[in-house]
Parts: sequence; C-alpha cells; structure tokens
Amino acid sequence: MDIRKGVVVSRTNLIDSKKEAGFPVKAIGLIVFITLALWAGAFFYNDYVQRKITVLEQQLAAAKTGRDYQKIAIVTDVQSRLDSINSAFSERIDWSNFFAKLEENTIPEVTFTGLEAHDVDEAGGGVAAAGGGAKGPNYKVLIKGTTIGFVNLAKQVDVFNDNQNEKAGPLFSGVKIEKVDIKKTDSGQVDSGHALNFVLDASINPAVLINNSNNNSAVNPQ
Amino acid sequence: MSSYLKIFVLPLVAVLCLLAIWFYAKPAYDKAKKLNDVNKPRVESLALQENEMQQRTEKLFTEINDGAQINSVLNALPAAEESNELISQFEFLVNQEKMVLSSVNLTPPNANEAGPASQSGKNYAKVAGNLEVRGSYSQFKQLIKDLYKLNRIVNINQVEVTNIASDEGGTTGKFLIAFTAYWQPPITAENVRSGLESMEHAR
Repeated sequence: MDIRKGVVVSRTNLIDSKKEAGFPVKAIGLIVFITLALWAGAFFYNDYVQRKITVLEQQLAAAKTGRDYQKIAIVTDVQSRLDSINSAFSERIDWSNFFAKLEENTIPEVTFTGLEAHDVDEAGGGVAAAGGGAKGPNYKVLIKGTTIGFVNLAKQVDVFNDNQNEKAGPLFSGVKIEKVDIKKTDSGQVDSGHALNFVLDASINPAVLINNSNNNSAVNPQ
Repeated sequence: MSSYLKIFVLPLVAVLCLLAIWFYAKPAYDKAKKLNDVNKPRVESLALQENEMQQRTEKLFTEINDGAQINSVLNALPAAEESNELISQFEFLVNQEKMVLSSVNLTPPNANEAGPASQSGKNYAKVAGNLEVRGSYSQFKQLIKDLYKLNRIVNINQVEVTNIASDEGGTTGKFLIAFTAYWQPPITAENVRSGLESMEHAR
C-alpha cells in the first residue's frame, strides 16, 4: 500500500486478467449442424419430388398404353370431316334464291333468253372467295333478253336497281346496258313494235347468293 | 497466435458453411423446387389431359358410332375422289328431271389441289367440273335444288343459261353448270399415333 500525498492506492487486482477465452465448439457445431441439415433436407426433398414425378410418369405411361388409336382416329376423322363440311357449305352459292329473286324482279314485258353468271374473283368459276372474305362472293352476270321498246328496258333496269321491297338490298348493283339491237323485219325494216334484243351487265348482290345457303344441305353438321 | 485463430474460427466456419449452403444445398433445393413447381404440375396436367382425352374419345365414339351418322358424313365428304359415282349421281338426277344430259366433264385438278390443300389449312380436296344439260327452265331450277339435296356436297360455282329453241313442249334451254364436289382422305390410327407422338415430343 502506497501512501503519497494522502492518497491510498490499493495494488490488489480483483479481476482475473489472464483467463483464456474458450474455443466456440458449441457455436461451430450448431452452424455445421444447420448446414448439414439444410443440405440433407434439400437432397431429401429433391429425391422425394423426383420419386413422386417418376410415379406420375409411370401412371401417365400406363394411361397412354390404354389409348385406343382406332377410336381416336374415327372420332378425329369425323370431327375433321364435319369441319370440312362446314367450310364447303360456306362456299355454297344459293342459286335457287337467285333465280327466285330474278323472277320476282322481272317485269312482264321482258323475256330473258340467256344468262351467264361467273365469279370474278376466281378465274375458272371457283368460289374460294365465297364465305372466306368479309365481302362474300363477287359474281358478275350477263343477262340477254328481249322486250318491246326502250321504255320497258328502262323500267326493267329501274326494277333491278330498286331496293324498296328487298330486305337484302337490290338484286343487282352496277346494272349497265351492254348492248341493244333493234330487231328488223325480214325485209330489213325496223320492226314497227320496236322489238329489242338487249344485254345487261351487272354484279349480283352477295347477300342474295349466300342467303339460306345452308338450309338445303345434304348433311346438317352438329 | 492461437487466440487470433480462436477469434476468427467462428466467422470462418460460418462463412464456409454459408458457401457450402450456397454451392451445394441451394442448387439441390432449386432443382427440387423447379421439379415441384414446373415438372410435377406438367406431368400431372399431361396425365389429366390424357384421361380427359380418353374419356372424351370414348364419349364421342359412343355418340358417333351410330352407323347412319358416320355414313351421312362419309357420303357428304367421301374418303376418295369417287368421280365415277359423282357422274352417276348427276346422270340419275338429270334423268329424274327428264332432262337431257349433254356432257359431264371433270376438270383436272391444279397441282396445288391434287390432294388436300394443306397449305391453305384445309384438309379436303376438290373435284371440279362442268355439267351440260338441256331442258326447260323449271326443270333446270329443280335440278339445282336436287344437286343441293344430294348426299354428297356439290356446290355450283357458275351457271350459263342459253335459250336454244322453242318447241311444242315449251322453251328448251341449254344449261351449263360449273360444279365443285369435295373429298377428304381418311385419318388412320397410324396417322393419329404419329401425330400424337410428334406432339408429345414437341412439348
């Protein structure tokens, strides 16, 4: 014990200053254990999922062996045919409706002697455009006929262009008089009645051609 | 020195364990998770689809296995061109309407249309031709109706009507009809098998 300037300083150290820190075995062990547990868990999980998938794959393979390809072929064939039948019907032109409308729109003073109708979209007379596009079939028609006098011819053209009584619109559009011949007598004189041979050129209203086109079908696909 | 080791060993072990988890446990877990989240549902869905397909096939087969229905579909769209049968049917109809059959011509198909036009997404092929008949206008109209009522689908693409003579029985006309009929090759069990297998390989 020192006594200097009246201060008493004790030299006794109550703390054990030289105590060594212990090796953290428990902490390291815990960390290693958690690591191994995570690793093992992941591998067990992987193995479990893989085994489950293998079982499912075996079930799938077993189910596939039960396929009856003959039955599937019959069902697929019929379904494909029904689709094709629908597609073929969509190309159908309703000529019965067209001729019925033509008769309705023919005035009694006119007699038609010839008619040619063809699809302008497909050379050769196909109808690929029918039902395929938004416009529908695009048919041109040449109509040959006879009447007495220009007034009747003009009346007929008026009737063709008129859509007052038609729900689907006029039968024709763009009606043009392509040719007019005034009939002559045997002696070469102009016929006193002014009999005319004429040719009209027009486009058929697509709505008339596709109207009810599927109602008279051979098969009614469900 | 030994005390330094003691200070660093715990963090070192922790870092090594983290690295071990990162490089070994995590990939294994990720693989398992992918198997569980992607492959397992895919196999389950395939198994479900397979079962549904088989049940639907069975149901549809039972529904369509009525001979009359299959026959009417096959009559409408035969499995082969059957041009001769088509001509015979035309001949029958023309005779039935007491008209005169002048000619029936089948137009040779284009190279593209020789078989089913797969390029256009259609499974069927066409048989096109012209039919020339003589008779009255009312007979002609009836013939058109008959053609549309035929068992086989026949579409009329073009008509030409020409007045050729007036005899005591009424006006006689010449009628030219451009037609298209259709056919479709059958789908065989072998086609179905190879189709399904290639579909499964593509998945």
